Amino acid sequence: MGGHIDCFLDISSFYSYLAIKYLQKNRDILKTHDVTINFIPIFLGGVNVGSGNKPPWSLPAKAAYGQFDSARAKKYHGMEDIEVPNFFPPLTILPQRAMCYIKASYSNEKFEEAWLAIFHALWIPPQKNVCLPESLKEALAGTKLFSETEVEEIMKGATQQEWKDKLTNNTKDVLEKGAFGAPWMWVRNAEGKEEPFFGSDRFHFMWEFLGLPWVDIEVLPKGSDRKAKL
Amino acid sequence: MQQKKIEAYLDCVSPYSFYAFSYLRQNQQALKASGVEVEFIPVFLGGINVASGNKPPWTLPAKAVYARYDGQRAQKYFGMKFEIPTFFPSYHFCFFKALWLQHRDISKPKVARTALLEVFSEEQAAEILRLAETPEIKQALNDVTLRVVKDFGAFGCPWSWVHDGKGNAEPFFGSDRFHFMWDYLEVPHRDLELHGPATGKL
Repeated sequence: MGGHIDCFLDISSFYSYLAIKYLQKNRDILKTHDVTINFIPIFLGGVNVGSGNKPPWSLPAKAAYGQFDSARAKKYHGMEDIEVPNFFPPLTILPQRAMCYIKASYSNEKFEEAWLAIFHALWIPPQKNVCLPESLKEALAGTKLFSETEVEEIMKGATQQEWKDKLTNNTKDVLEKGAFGAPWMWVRNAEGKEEPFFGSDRFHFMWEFLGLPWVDIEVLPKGSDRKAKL
Repeated sequence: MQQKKIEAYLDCVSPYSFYAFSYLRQNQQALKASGVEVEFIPVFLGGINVASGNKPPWTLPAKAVYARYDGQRAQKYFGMKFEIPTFFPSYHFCFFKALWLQHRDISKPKVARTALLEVFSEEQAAEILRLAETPEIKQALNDVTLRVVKDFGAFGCPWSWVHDGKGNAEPFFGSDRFHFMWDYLEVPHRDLELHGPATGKL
């Protein structure tokens, strides 16, 4: 088979959180099909400005409906602990720059683990505003992935031009790939064809595009197990 | 309401309404076996947009570009499963079919008449078109359109208002939330699964 998924995320988007967890959950199976995954930090605020889009909740009817849809998505993904923090929406430039630095300076495993910890800190009560330097530093130290010195280096890196530019370039790149929101995925299949996928609810289309064996949602006869598995 | 029910509000101008209509029709018997009724109700999507302040997605250039991918995938996905002839005859289907499969402009009375003749006699088709122009019917469409926005929170189509049979009801938007709907209605279903390569073993 073969293929690759570039997954562009910002911690400000909880659907990004669902997407990274879902892809990680399926990573081993995807690997059996030679499909690899790469997670890339972007600045969603920049994506909105660049595409002219606005967050969905800026329309009152979408904000109201969003309550239902997000609750269902959280339940479906087994992440019902997620709760919108009272400082929402967060300005995520600092932590996203920090993630750019970590991605370039550490193993992929460490990078992903650190990013998950930052997602967790922002979205799971008691939520921490990791956009503020002190809270970000505390969250990074709490991962136990980095020494005290390394945490200092990460915090310093997050304010350096090289990593500001990196985040800007990632954001420009994802805009060029058609993004108007996050999670945004750029997927290449075995034939070398590349296409965009938006959101945490299009994985069946992604498996189809990648030519992977997948089984669809199906209503079962009355009396069957509520959530049967093959 | 003690009856589990899906009220699907559709406008044939919306291809995703067509998919939702097809998909629910395909599953109608299975849903009935689980005690769930399905009703299809016409609304005016133009009116939903005006009343909710929403704009069609393609008004944002990046969404228009992405919609081509998503639309093709949805077409393939829903087309894979649904045999067109099983919906015949259905008065909802004649307009969806005329617009999306035959690409004819059903806003024109002559075209609408031809579409209706697939299901109705000459006299019936003429009467339907006459009634469609009466104040009563215009008001009825207006009323249901405003209702779906004010009471059910709609900002697009397809918009479903689903009763769980225990006195509760919730909105579902789009043709890509049926797994959530089955969950809400406690309809037994299999979830999406990704499999490893076939190994020759079961």
